[in-house]
Amino acid sequence: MRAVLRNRRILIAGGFLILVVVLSVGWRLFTPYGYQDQVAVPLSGDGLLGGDDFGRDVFTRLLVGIRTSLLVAAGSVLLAAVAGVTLGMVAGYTRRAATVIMRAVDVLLSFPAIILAIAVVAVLGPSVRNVLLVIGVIYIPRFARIAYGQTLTVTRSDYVAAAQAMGSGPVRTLTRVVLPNIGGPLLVQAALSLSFAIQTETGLSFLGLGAQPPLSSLGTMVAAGRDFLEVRPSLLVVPALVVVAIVLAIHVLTDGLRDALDPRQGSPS
Amino acid sequence: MTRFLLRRTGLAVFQLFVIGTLVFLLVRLIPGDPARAALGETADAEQLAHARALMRLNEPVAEQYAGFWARLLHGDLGTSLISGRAVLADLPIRLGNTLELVLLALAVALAAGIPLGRAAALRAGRRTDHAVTGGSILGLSAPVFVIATLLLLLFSVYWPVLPQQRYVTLWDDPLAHLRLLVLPVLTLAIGATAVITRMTRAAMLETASADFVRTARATGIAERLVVRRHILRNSLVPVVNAAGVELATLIGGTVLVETVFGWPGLSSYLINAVSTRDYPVIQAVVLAAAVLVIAVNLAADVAGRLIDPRAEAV
Amino acid sequence: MHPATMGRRSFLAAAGAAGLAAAAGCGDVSGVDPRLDRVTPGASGRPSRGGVLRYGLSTDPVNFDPHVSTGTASDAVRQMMYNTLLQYDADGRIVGDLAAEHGWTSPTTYEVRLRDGVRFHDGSVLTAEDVAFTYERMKDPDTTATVGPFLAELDRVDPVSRTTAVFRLSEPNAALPAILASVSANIVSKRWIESGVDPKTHVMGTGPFRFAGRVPGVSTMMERFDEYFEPGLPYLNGIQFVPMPDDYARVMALRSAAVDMIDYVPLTHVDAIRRNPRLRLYADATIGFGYIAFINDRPPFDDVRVRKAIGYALDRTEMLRTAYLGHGSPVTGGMLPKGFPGASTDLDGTYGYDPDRTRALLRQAGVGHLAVDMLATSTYSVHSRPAEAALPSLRRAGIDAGLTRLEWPSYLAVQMAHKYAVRYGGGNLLYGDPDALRNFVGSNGTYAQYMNFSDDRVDALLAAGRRARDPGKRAEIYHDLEKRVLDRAPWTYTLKRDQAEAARTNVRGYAHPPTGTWTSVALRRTWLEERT
Repeated sequence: MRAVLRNRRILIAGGFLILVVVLSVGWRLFTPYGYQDQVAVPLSGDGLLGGDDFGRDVFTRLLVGIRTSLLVAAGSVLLAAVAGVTLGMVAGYTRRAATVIMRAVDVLLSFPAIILAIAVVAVLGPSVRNVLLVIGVIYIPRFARIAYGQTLTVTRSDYVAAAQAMGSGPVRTLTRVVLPNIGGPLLVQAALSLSFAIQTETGLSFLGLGAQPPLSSLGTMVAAGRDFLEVRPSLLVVPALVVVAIVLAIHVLTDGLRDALDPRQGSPS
Repeated sequence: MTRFLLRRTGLAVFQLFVIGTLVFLLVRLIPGDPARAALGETADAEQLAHARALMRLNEPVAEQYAGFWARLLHGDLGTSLISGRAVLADLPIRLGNTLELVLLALAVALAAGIPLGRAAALRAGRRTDHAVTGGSILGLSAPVFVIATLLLLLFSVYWPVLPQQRYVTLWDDPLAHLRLLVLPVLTLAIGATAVITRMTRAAMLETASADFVRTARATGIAERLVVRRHILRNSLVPVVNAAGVELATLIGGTVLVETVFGWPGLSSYLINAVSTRDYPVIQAVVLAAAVLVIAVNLAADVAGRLIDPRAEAV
Repeated sequence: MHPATMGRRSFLAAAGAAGLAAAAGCGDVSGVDPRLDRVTPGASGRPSRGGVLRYGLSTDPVNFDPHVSTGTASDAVRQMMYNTLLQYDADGRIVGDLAAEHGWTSPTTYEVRLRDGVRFHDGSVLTAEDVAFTYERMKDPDTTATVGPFLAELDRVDPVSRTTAVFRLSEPNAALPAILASVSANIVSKRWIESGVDPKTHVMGTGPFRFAGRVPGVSTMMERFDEYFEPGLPYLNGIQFVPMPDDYARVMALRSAAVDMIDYVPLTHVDAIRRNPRLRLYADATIGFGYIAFINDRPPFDDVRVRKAIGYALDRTEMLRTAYLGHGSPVTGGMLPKGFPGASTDLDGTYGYDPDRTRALLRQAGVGHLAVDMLATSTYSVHSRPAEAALPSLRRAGIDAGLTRLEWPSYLAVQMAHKYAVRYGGGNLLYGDPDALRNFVGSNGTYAQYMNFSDDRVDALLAAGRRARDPGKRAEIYHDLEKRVLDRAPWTYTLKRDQAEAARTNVRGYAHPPTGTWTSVALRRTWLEERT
């Protein structure tokens, strides 16, 4: 734990992300406008970042957009982690169900996520909730695989044998003994999935399949900004750079976590 | 090897069957129907009923399901409910267009990423390494649609060296086609190069500290040979692993690239079909994507075993 | 950390795919023979000949069925290869296309004499049999022809001689000529259709261009038909329609001369195009209109006062500015385009922005708090933007208004299922006669059925309008009809938008549709000057 806090990359990236989360979740504190309010002249420069084509405050919509993207990403990773880890641990522990579960999971694993998302969103209808669900389901296999592999290793260890000898039932063993030991790689996978989840959500919103107007997402803002490239390029460039910055911070954080938690892996840099 | 192939092929068939069934059910759950999409808003109820009958949407589901597989096994991918064209006439071309982007991007990524990763690994901790690692993390962090849109802004609007052109095939106008390829391939290649670079670097560093390498060094073999013969070759397996995964990611990435650059590929074919509820096309495209991914995985596993029979397989 | 075997590079896949990519180029016709591109200037003042016009379309035509309209983009494509009996001239008057003579011979018979020697692309000669067959096909429910429902008064078409066809009606319909001139009333060859060919994917007409191939998503190509019946036409060697659904890409392609012409100029680019000396804009705001429709028997919208209240609550000027950046016009009165019988400006201002009146009406109707969940489509920004722009003024008038946006197919399905009492939509007159309103407010009309609206006086006026032949009388009738609709308020009109095509200045001879309905026959007479 101390290693985590001492790593400079984790501190900077983590700090930036905390700032972003605070700004976006508490957006109402940082702006007097609602994200639907038409407060400015369309495409003007009034306000912090100007007005969009409907005359809404871009800064407000940016904060709300970040919030949307982060919520969907975090929610979907949580869903994937909980479901995937459970599946993987069960598969690793009870060897029989393993092959069936892992094979079924294999199909999803190789399939291009966004194509699956398009097809599923077509059924469920475009909305942030459905995008969250889809991305969550798509990432279950990744967590399941890691949990499965790690559980296999750990269950062969002495800890588990000892626990079982003392009469510990399967659930107990899994949660008390196995889970804490596989935490490291899972955390890294979670961080990695978070960055992909943001990219997928913004991509789907860009295509019009995610956040529906008037709700903004970083993806919808970039898509809308394309129409006004010559009049007000900032409408596109600002949300685009924000996405890059957030994903970048998450990657740096991931690298730092990897180093701190498992010094043999990764690389000094 | 034969047993392995048989086992994997059997698995692949099973997976395809599962996906095919899932897709069949999936498209029929989509609200709205193709008759509506084909006739538009002004059609009245009677016309819609006629159109639905013509599209055979009223047949019992079990019959439709059986018919779907029967036709598939005969090589009939179905007929578009909207355009009336055979899917087999259009799908291969659109698939080919997408593959063109994906394979070129992967080739660029490997051609650039391996040397970059190698350079970074060999000079680990020094300025080259920092630059490469920094660049690759940036390349990883920019979503595909951001890269695409910014490149378009840069090279078509502000500095119009690659202005927006209409699509032409390689056969009609090779030069124009190649020019068209530049931006979409570049977009896809940036992220892929970043991944390959990082993977090469990590794999080489890990291998470099391995026992057999230290032994080779200890026996006095020249560093250059050590790198080439031992480190690079043994790093190849995880890099090749990553390339395979990248392929699936790239196929996903083309969805956004095709939208931004107007490239007539598989993804735009799918998106069109979804927006008009063209069931046969949706089914065929998803199946085609699955076949592609499964085939790549299978062939890659085989190739991997050929490269290094000692490599672990799951 | 190395992932287990998930996938590795495959030389096999690469080789196989390279083959596929190679196949990607084969067997397609997206290319144009460069010799066709040459333009020969005409003698002084005469149009140049030759060249291939490249037209960037906002949608890829889905199919080529001659009698089913799937949008103005595909209509334009078909009009180059097929002809109708009648068409509009530059002043919006109905004149002959395939018809040399046309007119009423009795209140219920309309006679058409075809031009002599008109040939189909396969060389066969056009006869009245083909005309009779065409209209039979359009009336056949299996064809799902767009103007099928409007041919209700047509009993049959008799080919009384090789070149004369008589339309026999069960009741008078003064709108018949407009229907004969409509974009989807294309004349087809009886022999060709009966030979079993699929007209969705094959094209064979009498038009100035013949079908030369299609690659979906890439291009639709057509070449000059040398035996076209109008002497001298067409000037072009061919037209290549290139689908470009992305608004931005379409405009950029025009600016970089990758295409010569585009349709559906996005409103956000209209000003820039107007300022560009190399481009010309062809626009007006008469073709489409927006509306908010109600389900007329669903409380509280079964009370006409509530419906009218919403009409007064819309600040249409503000909506125009926000939604269309000012490119269009507010519709505060009747919606018939200028030039149509019954169109007049005296009804303008019927529904000016008057939130006080809204509140008063709602009070009278006993509605305390009105909450509205309006349905709109997310797919077309020309509809979703004004729907969203309507919300602020509705809210200012005290109405708790929200928006539910659905993709187009879902929107259509939900609309048909009568799920939302209030709905934003857009409409188009399907043919150039005020009788086209029958589909909107006539009790048999599709839109009226969505709205559960039926009004005897409206139906009576519609029928009277069909029976009357005197233009003055018709104008009076349709004016009364518009007034009645505004009075009963089954729906309320919102905006008309600028619909524009744009072309490079070397494209000549093109004109925007002269009437309030879509037609692109002007494209048949277009020519290219030498590319600058």
